Amino acid sequence: MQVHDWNRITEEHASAVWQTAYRLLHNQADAADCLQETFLAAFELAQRQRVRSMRGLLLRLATTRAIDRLRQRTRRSCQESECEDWQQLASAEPGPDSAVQSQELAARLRAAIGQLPPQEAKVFCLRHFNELSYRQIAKELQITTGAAGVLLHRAKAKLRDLLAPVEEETRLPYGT
Amino acid sequence: MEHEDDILQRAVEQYRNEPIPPHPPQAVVDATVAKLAEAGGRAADSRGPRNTYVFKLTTKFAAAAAVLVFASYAVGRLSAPRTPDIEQLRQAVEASLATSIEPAVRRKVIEDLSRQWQATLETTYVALREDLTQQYRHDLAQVAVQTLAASNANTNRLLEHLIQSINVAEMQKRQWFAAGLEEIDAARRQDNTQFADALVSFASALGGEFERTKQDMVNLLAGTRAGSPAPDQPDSATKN
Repeated sequence: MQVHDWNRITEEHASAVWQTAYRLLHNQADAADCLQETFLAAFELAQRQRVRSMRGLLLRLATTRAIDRLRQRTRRSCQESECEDWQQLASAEPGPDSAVQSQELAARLRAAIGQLPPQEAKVFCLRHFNELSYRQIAKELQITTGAAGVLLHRAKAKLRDLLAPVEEETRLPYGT
Repeated sequence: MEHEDDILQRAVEQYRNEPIPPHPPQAVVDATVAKLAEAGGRAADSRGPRNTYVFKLTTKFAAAAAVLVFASYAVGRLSAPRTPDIEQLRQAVEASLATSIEPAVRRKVIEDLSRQWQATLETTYVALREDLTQQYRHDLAQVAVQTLAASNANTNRLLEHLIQSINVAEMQKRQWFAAGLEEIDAARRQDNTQFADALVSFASALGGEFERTKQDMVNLLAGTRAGSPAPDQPDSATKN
């Protein structure tokens, strides 16, 4: 049975877990909750099975929990707006400047990730935001490397579809 | 497709470039460590009975093995054509038990004890740190309250001095104002007196002049009646 020094593990990996959660949730309270849940889940998992890479495990758990919260948030906002498509909520007016457009783009990507199936969202986030290799992603999610590649490809295709209206707005700045 | 690639790439880059606090708040880390220690304590508690159970099970197995060995020995002795060497057999059984069971039991007990000690030490460390943090915050709060009270008292004292100074200054100003009014009143009275005296002098002088003018008029009229001056010669009568 492995014996872990959880104080050291927390000190060592808290920043990476925090950044993973915060990047997806963009909210301090949610990121803090996600961090605590991640470490507790890792603790319980480590009691039951052998952990080969604590960093990989923590990043996977943080991504999973953050995506869960993101999906809940997306569902809630859909219900609040009576299931109106978020893409139709975009203003037809042009953005005031490129900075605001970029911020809006990041927010739309966040919302789009919340609409992906969980496994695809996890693969996309681990690949693009945590910069894990296909092999590491496959090991952490307990899938094959080929399956990781397929999931990533599907995620990208869906994200392109979801972001396509934004591109059209950019090309037709006055919404005409 | 190129445009779509561009927008996804741009979105990912913008997403990556969004400002993120590099570290979680220390309070969150502390709360997480405390929860982990609490979970560790619970796990250690739940492991305790299991360890006892394992120890009991091992003891039972050892006892069963011993009984089996002795039973085998007894059967063998009863069925053997000649009496075996009991002392030698006992030593062999003891050695076998000592080599097979005792080290495993000892190792297991040592592992359990070390785990329990580690969990207890972790819990104690976290609890001690929490206590010290609370004590530190409490002391800081007390110092802050005392400093605030002292500062308030000092401010009140300064305000009282300021109010007293303002009162004194107002009193002096009133006194000066009253003195000025009295001086103005005295000057007015003096001016009145001088003006009355001047009026009296002027009236007396005017009265004398009036008397003289009246006398002159009387004399003039008397002279005019005595000389009967012609109406076309008023200048000569006036000259006389």
